[in-house]
Amino acid sequence: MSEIRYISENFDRYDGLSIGAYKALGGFEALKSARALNREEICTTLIHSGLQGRGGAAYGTGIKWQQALSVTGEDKVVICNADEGEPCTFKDRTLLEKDPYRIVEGMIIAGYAVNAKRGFIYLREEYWHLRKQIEHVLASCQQEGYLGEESGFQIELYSGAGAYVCGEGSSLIESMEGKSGRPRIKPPFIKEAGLFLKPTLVNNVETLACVTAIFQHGLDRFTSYGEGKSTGTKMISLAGHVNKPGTYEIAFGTPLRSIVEQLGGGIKNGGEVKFFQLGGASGRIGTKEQLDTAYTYEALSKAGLDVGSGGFLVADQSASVIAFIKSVQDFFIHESCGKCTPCREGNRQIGHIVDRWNRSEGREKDVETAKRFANIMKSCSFCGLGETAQSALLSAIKHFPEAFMLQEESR
Amino acid sequence: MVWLGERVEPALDEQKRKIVDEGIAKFNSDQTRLVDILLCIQNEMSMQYISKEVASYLSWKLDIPLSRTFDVISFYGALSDTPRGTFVVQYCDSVVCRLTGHTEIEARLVELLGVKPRETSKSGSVWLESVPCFGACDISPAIRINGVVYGRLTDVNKIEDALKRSGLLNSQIPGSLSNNRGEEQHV
Ligand SMILES: Cc1cc2nc3c(=O)[nH]c(=O)nc-3n(C[C@H](O)[C@H](O)[C@H](O)COP(=O)(O)O)c2cc1C
Ligand code: SF4
Ligand code: FES
Repeated sequence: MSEIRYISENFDRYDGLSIGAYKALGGFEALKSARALNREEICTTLIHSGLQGRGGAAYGTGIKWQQALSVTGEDKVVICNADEGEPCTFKDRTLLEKDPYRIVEGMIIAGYAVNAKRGFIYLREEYWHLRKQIEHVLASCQQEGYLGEESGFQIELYSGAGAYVCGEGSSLIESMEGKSGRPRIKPPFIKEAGLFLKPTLVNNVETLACVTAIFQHGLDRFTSYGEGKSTGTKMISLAGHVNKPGTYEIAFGTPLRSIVEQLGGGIKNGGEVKFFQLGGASGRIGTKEQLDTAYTYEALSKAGLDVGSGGFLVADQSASVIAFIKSVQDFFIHESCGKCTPCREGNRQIGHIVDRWNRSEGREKDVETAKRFANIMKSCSFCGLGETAQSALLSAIKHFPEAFMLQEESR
Repeated sequence: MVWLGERVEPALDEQKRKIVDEGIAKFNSDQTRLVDILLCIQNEMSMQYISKEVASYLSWKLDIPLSRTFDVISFYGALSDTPRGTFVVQYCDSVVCRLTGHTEIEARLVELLGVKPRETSKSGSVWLESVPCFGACDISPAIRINGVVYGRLTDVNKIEDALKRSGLLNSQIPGSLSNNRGEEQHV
């Protein structure tokens, strides 16, 4: 199995700066074919494509655009979510570095489709070094009339400031309004009253890249990749104990094992997989017995795993499950915004338990208590951060119960 | 006479005021760009932080409550109300880097720089801190120095090399205003 070059087809074929080079590679053909359709037709095309949002929630992009289009209201806005705060996720960075015009083109198509006049890119502070490049890209598009007054669509670049929760749509909007990024209560939904209370469409970087590919190469090409309801390709951020970590584009349906062995070049030092985590720190973990699972939304969900952010972290036999869980827990304690009690207190209390396990001082009821708190967080948290923070822990207890028992016994 | 609630221009030295004024002007005095404005100002400030005086002046100038400015500064990990250093050295402590060598990096940085995490060196030139994943997991373990990423730091020589290339080792410019934020470097 080799790597797919579909939404990544332009990678390393131009410098990511020259608009002329982008056009020579077929750039802005997608916009042309999209403009030949009416707004409703664009949304229907996306519905037929089966494209699901690549930001983590996997919401149907066509439906989302259709809803955005049907909302009444002036001054709609389109936001490209380039916050990419999920650990073990860097595919949006790769897309923005290697083919930023494709993302901008996707945004222009979105603007046309939902009838928005303003677009925004919310870029995480950690990608500050990409600002210059993106500013150059936006200026070039302006010069050539793809953006700006005549085109009827503008794009502005906003910066995040190091807060994972700001990847969540309503927190992102709070942050863009110059406030701390705590999620908003819904309703009103951001599609009706989002940024500056205007109807707002938020899409992930990779989703927008897929949109451009669909309108450039046609629906059939997109749906020729994938299996069942998981159509198209997926950018994977592969990292950890593999020989060749990196961003890879795969067709949905590829077995996890091929991703690790063929794209990742296998485990470092000829080792073996102990566990892996899909979808970043908020994803669940799997064991080497699950490596034959196909990478599709359906098969992963059946196996108790998630596509999530597209992160794929591989840990070999040298990794400690408890140390891993501690790193996940430390992350969520740091990133919980503190707005709701289940997440703020739940993370802190589970943190105490994880610390005890880590010192081999676990107590008799710790596993039970941690599970109870984790389940409360899952069902009662205010936003997706708290709801998914304990996915790793719950799946680890399921797959490696002995790791937690041992901690109790050696007390 | 100053009435309760009337806002008097807070004192701030010339050089800092210039940085704040430029930061605000860059975003057309738009209050909603507070996060971007603060980041821009912090990048230019000596010791890379937002002091109380700077925050007061900025809030007055943008006509927003000081409490809101501080809420924002304290909320975001990339903003600091504590003086840091001419060089801000950050090492990732998230899942991937913990698997690939974050502990060694931490120990080597403490040794090479002579500072503990969340501490400024005596000369004021270096601040060390751990941060969550900054999306360099493909070149993990990784560090960031003034925003520039150095990766694949699997042994002490590579760490030392990264510090040298950032201009940090052998640097004799404590308190310098230039903090060379630039392009990412993949090592
Ligand atoms: C805590 C949290 C963090 C998130 N971070 C991101 C992110 O960094 N990038 C992203 O595209 N979506 C992120 N999301 C998902 C967004 O809320 C949203 O679903 C997505 O941007 C929609 O785009 P899509 O439909 O194109 O996937 C996050 C969600 C939560 C709850
Ligand atoms: S779940 Fe966590 S991050 Fe989300 S609102 Fe509650 S405290 Fe904040
Ligand atoms: S986990 Fe260290 S850079 Fe992502």
